[in-house]
Parts: sequence; structure tokens; C-alpha cells
Amino acid sequence: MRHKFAAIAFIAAMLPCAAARAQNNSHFPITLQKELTARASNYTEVNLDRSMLAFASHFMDKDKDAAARNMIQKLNGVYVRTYEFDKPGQYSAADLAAIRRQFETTDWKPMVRDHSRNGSSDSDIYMKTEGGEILGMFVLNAEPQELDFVYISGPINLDDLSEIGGNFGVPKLRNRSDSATGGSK
Amino acid sequence: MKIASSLSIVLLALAPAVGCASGQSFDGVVSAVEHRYAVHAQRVPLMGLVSICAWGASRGGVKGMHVAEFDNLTLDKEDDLSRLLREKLGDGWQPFVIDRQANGEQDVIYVQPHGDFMRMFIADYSGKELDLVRLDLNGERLQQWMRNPAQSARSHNYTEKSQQPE
Repeated sequence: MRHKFAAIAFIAAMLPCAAARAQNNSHFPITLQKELTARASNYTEVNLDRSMLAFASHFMDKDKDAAARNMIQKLNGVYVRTYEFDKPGQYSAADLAAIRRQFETTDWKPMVRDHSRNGSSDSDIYMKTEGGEILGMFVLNAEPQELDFVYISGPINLDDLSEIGGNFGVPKLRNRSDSATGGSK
Repeated sequence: MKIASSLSIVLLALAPAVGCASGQSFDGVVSAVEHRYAVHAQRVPLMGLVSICAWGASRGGVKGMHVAEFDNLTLDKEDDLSRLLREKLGDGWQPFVIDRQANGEQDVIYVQPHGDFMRMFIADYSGKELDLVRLDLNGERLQQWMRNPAQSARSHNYTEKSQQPE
């Protein structure tokens, strides 16, 4: 009986370690991070893995933010990188192409490609789908002096997605009517 | 009365012991900064007692507080606080926020889930001052504390004006 109790206590003590190791598998997948960080004048990185999202959800309103809470409780992680540069030309078209190539696989599909002719603003959204379900999302926004990446890992309900905009470093999403009336970014 | 004073003595005696395990990682980082930049940290006296007060005031939402401050510390652009924390805190700690500004300011937060608590290690460098803070937060209890302003007001004796929500 005593041995059984000790075994249960040992397993219970080890569970958080196993969970922590499992969470480390869903890391931010982008290459060139070190190079971009070295070139950036301002750099911001936000990492929210499953445990951190669960922690953050405590501070969201149970009624008002119900959709966002429901969504983030299912996610594996939200990762945001923002690089601001002193001057244009600190990253090349080849750098962007290398990053985009990482998401040109059978799992990932480009959903939005909005590239300006003069290169003043490029936006790409890639979705990871499996069996009709969205299991990941990557957003790339490139401006001459700024690069932004948002990577969301886990099941995503598009209806709930706008709810997490403005939280955890994820930019607030805007619809076309907002854009037409000059809504905030 | 005798019980209250005995309890206070026990709490005071336990404070360093309670903070000991969590303090090891904190002391390691403080020591690393002191050695690397040849500066001395300013510690807050009776931090163990402050930590216990914070625990009580936040209804168990905050515990294990450690604070150290370094004045007149100059970090170069190559000095990476995030790397220093990663090296000294070791496995199990993950970067939560890393922010580096062109003017040299750096904000770094590392976290480690620990049961019901989220351990946080915060390093903030700006204006030649580096502040290191280490604490354990319980999200659920903090939320309960923040959502109960009446109870909070009673325990903190807020003024009538400051009780008004913005």
C-alpha cells in the first residue's frame, strides 16, 4: 500500500515535467531569426505556449471574452516576432522567399497573398489544414523597415480568430469596412 | 495575543526557508550580473517578509518575491540579457517576452510553469539601471483577487476615489 502511494506520488510529480517537454515541441519554426534580430534596431518577441496561454486565460473576462478564452484553451501556442529596422534594405527578397518556402509544403496552404507592386507592403497568410480542420496559421507582414511574424499553433476557428486580435501581441484584425473608413490597424 | 505573536515569529523564521529554493536561481542570475559587469546589487531588506505580505494581500496570488537593483550599469548593444538569463536559469525556463530597443533598453521575461503557479523572472534595463524581479503568480487566485474589488478595498483601505473603476 505504501509502495503504491509512493509510486502514485512519483508519477504525479513527474507529470508536469513531461507536459513541459511536450510543450517545447511546438516552437516557433521560422529560420533566419538570429540574422534578422542582429540587423534589427528594435526587436520584440512574445512566446505563449500552452501553459502560458492557460495562465493568460485567467485574466480574460469569462463572459465578455468567452470566445477568445475558448479558442486559446485549445491552442498549442502563439508566437509573435516584430523586427524594426533603421533603414530599408536590412532584409532581402531572398530572405522573405526563404521564409515563405518553409510554408510551401503539403500541410500548409497560402490563403492570402497581398503584395504591393512597389514593395511597400507585403502580407501573406498561410494555413495548416488537416481533414478540413485548421491546425495552424502563419502571418507574414513585410514593410521596408519592419517585419512581423505571427505563428499560431493548434486548432483555429476562424469565427473566433478575430477575438484574439489585440491580445498577446497579435495585431487587431480589421475587416474591409473598417479599412474603408480608416479603421485602426 | 500570544498565539498571534508566536505565529509572526514562525512566519518570520520560515520566510527565508520558503524563499530558499526559488532564491537559488535568482541568486545565480544576480551573481552572474555582478561578476560579468563588476557591479553590486542593491537588495531590498526583509524581502522574505515583504513576500509573505504580498502573498497575504493578494490572497495567495503572489509568492516567492525577490528583487535586486543595479545602478550605473552600462550594457552594450552586444550584451544580451536574454542569453544571460537562459544560461543561468537553465532548462525548464522559457522566454515569454523579449524586447530590445535601439536606445539600448531591454525587457526580458522568462517563465516556468510550476504546479498551480507560473514562475516569472523579469529583467528590465533602462537608463543605466537594471532591475531583476523573481516571483510566482497564481493566475486563478490573482483573478479572484482582481475581480473582488469590494474585498480588496476593505483589506487595503483604499480612498473612495480610487475605488471607482476607470
